[in-house]
Amino acid sequence: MNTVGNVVEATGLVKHRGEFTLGPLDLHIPRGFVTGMVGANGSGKTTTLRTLLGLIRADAGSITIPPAGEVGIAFDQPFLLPDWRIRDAVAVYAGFRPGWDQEWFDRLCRRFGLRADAKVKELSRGEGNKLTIALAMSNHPELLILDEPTSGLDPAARADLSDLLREHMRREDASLLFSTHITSDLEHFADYLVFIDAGSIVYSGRLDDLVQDFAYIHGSLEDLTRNNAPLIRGLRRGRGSFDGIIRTADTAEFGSGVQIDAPTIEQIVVHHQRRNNEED
Amino acid sequence: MQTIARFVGLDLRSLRPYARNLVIPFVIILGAAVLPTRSAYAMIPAAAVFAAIIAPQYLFGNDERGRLDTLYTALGIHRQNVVTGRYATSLVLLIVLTVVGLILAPATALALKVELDWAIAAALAASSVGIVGTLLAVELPAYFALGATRARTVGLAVPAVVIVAVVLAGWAFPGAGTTVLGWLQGTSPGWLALAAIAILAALGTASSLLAARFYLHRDL
Repeated sequence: MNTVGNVVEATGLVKHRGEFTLGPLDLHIPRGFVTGMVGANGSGKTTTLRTLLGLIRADAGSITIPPAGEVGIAFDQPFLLPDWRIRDAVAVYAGFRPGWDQEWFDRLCRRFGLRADAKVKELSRGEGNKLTIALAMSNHPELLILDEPTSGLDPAARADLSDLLREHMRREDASLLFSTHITSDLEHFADYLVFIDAGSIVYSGRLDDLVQDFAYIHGSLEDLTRNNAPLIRGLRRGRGSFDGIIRTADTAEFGSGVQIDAPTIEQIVVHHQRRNNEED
Repeated sequence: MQTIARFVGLDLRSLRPYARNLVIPFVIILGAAVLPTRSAYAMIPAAAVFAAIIAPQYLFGNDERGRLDTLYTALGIHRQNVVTGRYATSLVLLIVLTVVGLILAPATALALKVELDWAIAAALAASSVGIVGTLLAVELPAYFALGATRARTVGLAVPAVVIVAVVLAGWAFPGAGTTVLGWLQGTSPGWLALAAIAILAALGTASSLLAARFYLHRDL
């Protein structure tokens, strides 16, 4: 894989939308890798992606992204006229997207079970997702940006989509940025992770490093002290036990009675979110 | 230029699923204009006014219905080209529908057993393009700034104001219609067409600059 530089760079990105403020964000999406963007609903994932694409104007900051023809986009709902047939969408894409590969698109349609004469409004949510992804991929873009690509897909279809994206990533210069709130999508698939919460980046880096930076801690309430309790993110107290997420560097602050495990991404996201709720 | 032409094709493709639904209101508008006046000439401005109704309402409505603003970005169409392309589509619709009105006028004259002077019909067509083009030039920036739903009031109000003004002028000056037709008869259709083109070019340019300014700053 080509690891030279970043395919997307954003510096000091700020966007105000009502009471919500995104940023300031510094974002670096490495070229040739899969980057997953996670966060709760309303955390700013979609706003970030739409701002990167220029659909939303940033109030401040700078963005570097490949030319539009080299970026394939798919959101969680098709952006096609509901009364169009798939062949209408294909005609539109083929007319505008440089390097359109009709053969590849037809193969994807066969794989996804999509018929050219089907109307967009007749597709299920999952089929709509598959269609926009197929359209986005069919000129072999340098960068794919997918917003919640697996929402509405059943487990088998999600696995199939993961396989397809893996095939796409075999290209030397292909990069993929996708947002999801289904954290299991990221396991064994994403190389890098951007974790957004309340409009700010909590973590941006290698997925493996995230799991090393954080630890899942659980133990008896007796092990909690006034000093170590604030170090736990999303502290959940049970009858006699607690659990939460800590920085691995803070492990020494806890006694030997607690159990410390490698966290899942979901545990990190959920407990971080809970901390915010407690602060509110 | 190629991008603009392709965008016009995209716009027309977005109208295609609704073409059959548009035939009935088109016939109603033509009928409402021709039957009370028993004038075949009324066919021409009525057809042109239909362009002022469908161009913004349907095209921008489709943008919202299909989230096509996102599609334009996905296709790599710069916002400036979206604006220019949409103005071009509106102009194409206006000219095509006016020509349809012009073609239907002699058949209507035949059915109504009235005379039709081609010089007047041509002059009326040129004037209709100029006036309806002016309406579109006023309406389109609002649609680019606000989108179809929020700009609908403007889209309905502008033609309504013009229609009310024409009706009021007809009441206030009963001979105005005959005077206008007489004036049109005495004016060269060529000069009227030139005047229409000049007005459309000036207003269209100013309007599209304003629309581009609005659209470039809009969050989609």
